[in-house]
Amino acid sequence: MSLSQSEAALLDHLRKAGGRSEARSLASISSIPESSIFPISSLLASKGYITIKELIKEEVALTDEGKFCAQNGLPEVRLVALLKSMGGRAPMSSIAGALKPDEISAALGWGKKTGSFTVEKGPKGNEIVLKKEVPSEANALLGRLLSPLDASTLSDEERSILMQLKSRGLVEIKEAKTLILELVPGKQPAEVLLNTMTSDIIRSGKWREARLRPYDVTASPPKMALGKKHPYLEFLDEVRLILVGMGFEEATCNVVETEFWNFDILFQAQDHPARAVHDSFRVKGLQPQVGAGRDLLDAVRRVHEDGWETGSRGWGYKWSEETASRGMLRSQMTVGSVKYLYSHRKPPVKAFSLSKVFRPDVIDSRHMIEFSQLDGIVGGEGINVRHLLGVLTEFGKKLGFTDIKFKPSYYPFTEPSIDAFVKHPKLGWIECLGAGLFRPEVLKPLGIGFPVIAWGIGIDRLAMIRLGISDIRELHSADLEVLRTWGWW
Amino acid sequence: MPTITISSADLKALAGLPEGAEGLESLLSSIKCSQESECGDEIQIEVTSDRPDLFSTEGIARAIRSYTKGASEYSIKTSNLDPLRLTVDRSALQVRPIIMCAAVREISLGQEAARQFMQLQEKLHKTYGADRKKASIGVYDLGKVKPPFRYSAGLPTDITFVPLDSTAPLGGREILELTPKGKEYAWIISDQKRFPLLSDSGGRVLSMPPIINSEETRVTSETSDLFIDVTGLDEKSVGICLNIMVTSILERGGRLQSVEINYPDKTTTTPKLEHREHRLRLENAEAVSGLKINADEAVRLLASMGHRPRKPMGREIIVEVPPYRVDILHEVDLIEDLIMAFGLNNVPPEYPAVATEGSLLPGNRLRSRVRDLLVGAGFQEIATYMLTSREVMVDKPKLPQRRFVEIASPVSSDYTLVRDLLLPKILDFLGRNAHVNYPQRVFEYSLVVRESSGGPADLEHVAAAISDHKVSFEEIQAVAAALMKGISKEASFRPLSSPPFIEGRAAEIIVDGARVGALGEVNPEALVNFGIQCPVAAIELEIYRFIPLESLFRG
Repeated sequence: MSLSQSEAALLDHLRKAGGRSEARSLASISSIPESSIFPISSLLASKGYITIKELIKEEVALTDEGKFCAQNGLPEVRLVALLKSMGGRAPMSSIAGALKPDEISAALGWGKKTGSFTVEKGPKGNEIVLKKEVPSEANALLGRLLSPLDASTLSDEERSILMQLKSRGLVEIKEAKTLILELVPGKQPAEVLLNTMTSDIIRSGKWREARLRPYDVTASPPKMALGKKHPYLEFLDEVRLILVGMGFEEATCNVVETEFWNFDILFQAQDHPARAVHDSFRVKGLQPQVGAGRDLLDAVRRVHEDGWETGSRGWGYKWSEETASRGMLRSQMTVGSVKYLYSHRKPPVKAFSLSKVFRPDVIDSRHMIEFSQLDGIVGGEGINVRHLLGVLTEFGKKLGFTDIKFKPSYYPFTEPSIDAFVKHPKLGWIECLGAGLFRPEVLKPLGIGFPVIAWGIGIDRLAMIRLGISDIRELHSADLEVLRTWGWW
Repeated sequence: MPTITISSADLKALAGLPEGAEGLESLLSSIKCSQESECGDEIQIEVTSDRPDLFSTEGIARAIRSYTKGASEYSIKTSNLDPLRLTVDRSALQVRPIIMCAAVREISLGQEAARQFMQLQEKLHKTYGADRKKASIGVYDLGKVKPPFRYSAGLPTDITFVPLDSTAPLGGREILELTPKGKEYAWIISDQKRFPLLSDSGGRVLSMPPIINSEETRVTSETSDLFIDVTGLDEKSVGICLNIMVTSILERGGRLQSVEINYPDKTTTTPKLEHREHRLRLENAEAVSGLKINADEAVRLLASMGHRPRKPMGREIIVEVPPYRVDILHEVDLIEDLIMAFGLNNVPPEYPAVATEGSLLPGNRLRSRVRDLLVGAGFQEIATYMLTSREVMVDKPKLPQRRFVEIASPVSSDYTLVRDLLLPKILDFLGRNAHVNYPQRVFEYSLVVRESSGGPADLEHVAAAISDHKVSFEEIQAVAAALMKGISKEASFRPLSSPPFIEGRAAEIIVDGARVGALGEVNPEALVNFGIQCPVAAIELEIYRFIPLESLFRG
């Protein structure tokens, strides 16, 4: 049978103590507290390693008076010494100062009994007369009692003297229980179970004979908060990797842009209802620069006013550079696409932009004024609508949607414009992206001479479906407990 | 995108579909309308803002007729009456200079038609009319007035008539102050000395554009002749609104009578409902669509979208575009119609054989590395909004006032500006999680917008915080040193005295002799402001400074 570390330790100490020991003395030689000895030894006894005997001991202790007498002698001993110093005879009255009255009577009783001294009548009343010196056995025993004594070690004679001393109120006899632990001969201690593996155990080599106490492995473990990446950002990273795998280069633009890049370059007329499609946040405080050359500004002006060289009729109004220079928070990531085109005018181009956009709205479970948008472009000679559908179908598949369908739509900067729907096994058809071919009015001023397909996704909608949440605000959950317990998706 | 309500039975009747016709939803989606919901006979349709001709049942029915029959279904009847006349007074030119009008004779409007025209008028106001400012439409019972008409601007004190839905005559200012429509649209004209006024030859007021019509000229179930005016600031918007109103009304019957508008310096006749010519080259159509299209097929497809294609000349077709198709600006718009008629879902997708190399933005490798290091150190990543408030960025953390990118018209006091630091957002986050088990270790790696050479610049920062019942400066300092080691940099520290940190328990982080961030124990005053009851040690790093480390074979 296996032993715990503390059981083994007690057994070890008992062996060193010669195989038999009192519990109390075992406590003093080991580091095991006396209070723990009983429960541990009970376990050992139940496992058959030791026997426990309960012993009742008579402990003899001196009373205060007994202590005095042990040091100074019993009254009769002191009286004999007094008589000797007075020449063997002393009047009764003269000893009253040396002994108390009850001591005198006890001494006289002893003297009479042993014939050591007698009381005789003298000229001045009674006198005590020493007859012979008799040794006092009681006095000798009392002296031994200055150190604790077990009554069981006394002879019968001594024991009767002890009882006399007790009756004289000089000693007390108390009964005390004590446990005697004794090794069961021939029982070899089995392996020792350790609670905790320590470097000491490993370094000392104790592990060779020791075994660890088995745990209840079915019990619930303590809670632990791991460091983790944010699930929403991980999803966006996954989308980025899909696009990189499809050969797209990541592009970007600024959080704060001018209306020129957000609207005008995208052929969204300054006075056209399409501009209301993207209700936007104008900014005050820090203002951005347009950062477009004069050629580009003039081309965009002409495109808006009369179509310029694009073959378009334009919007037919007076374009204002001041309006175009106003700062705003970008409302669509298409800005990233057109800025990319402005700096990559040679085909082929394949780029995506994925970041936050900002639009005023009533904030609720489906609308937030700040959300992520993904915008992508593919440009090159011969690129057409079939390629647009091909890219969207492929991207949909990579995201896990095998069915996709298309519907004509309207975006001011693409023509044709389409919306795409993907089929979710539980939710059915989900409208998830808008797409099209950039209009000539967009491409020509940028100096792009080849067709470009473009598409934009409100990626938060897909993130919500993927992460299994129903409130868009949970993508930015401010609840640490939610983030700590978020699983895999 | 506008959403309109129509009657399914009415639509089917006008579109020439049998009463029990199925598949209306897919038919609608083929012509750029999407059915949002259905409730009995009523259906809600989302239409696109470039197609005002689909803002009412009449236009949708016309598009369905063309689409199902494969031929243009647009025609209007004109009356043989001379044009009505309207004189524009010089006074109106200062206030609301453009007016265009039309009359429709011999029409009887049912209840559903009346509802459609009111809805159409409202949708046009919202979109092309810029909420009546740029263009506003009035419809009157022509039988109740006596042409010729006069369009002028009068002093509010000189104006008096009974406005629609009122019983007593009101003055110009009273109309703005007392009537619901007056209150709603007063902003357009209230700062003008004179208000626009449309009246007849007997001085009877038709309306005070763009606010309200007169009760006297109200259109009722007995009305058989209509007079329509559109006034505004912009000729193009006014023209579109009139075209769409008139072409839609005429779908219900009636004959068109034009109106001669006499300006002080010119005379025009409205409405202008001629077809416009556009040239379509099949070569371009094929290039855009990726389809092989022959001329005859193109003609059939274009006609089914309501156009009048002429006989093809080789690979070129002159297409007459009906006046209500205000969205057709360019050849590509016709190509889109052609693809729509072909059916978008009939176009075979093809993955483009364009060979390109994919790549992520600079900074991505660093971002990935630093996030991994912090996750390894037991930090939970958080994602907070970029938009926040002065309260979070300045007041609560006791940071100095400074310039931000601020939203001119915020929709919520919680989101009024763009953050320029992450740490206040992290403290805000910890404040919302005071009830969650400690220790709390969180970080965010994201964009902030800070002033750089006079303008706003997007910069990547990373911030992290440790909060527990006991937290020391050394704990976050150890994170800083280990993090820098993790990107092969050696950090040293210089005492810093700056909010939101405790004096004597904050440091600047110095790498290669330059300050790259700050760390320290956060001042309890800031903690209390954010509702945090445990000490916090935190760090913010301008991590974007290390993006150049990414280049693989740097010196």
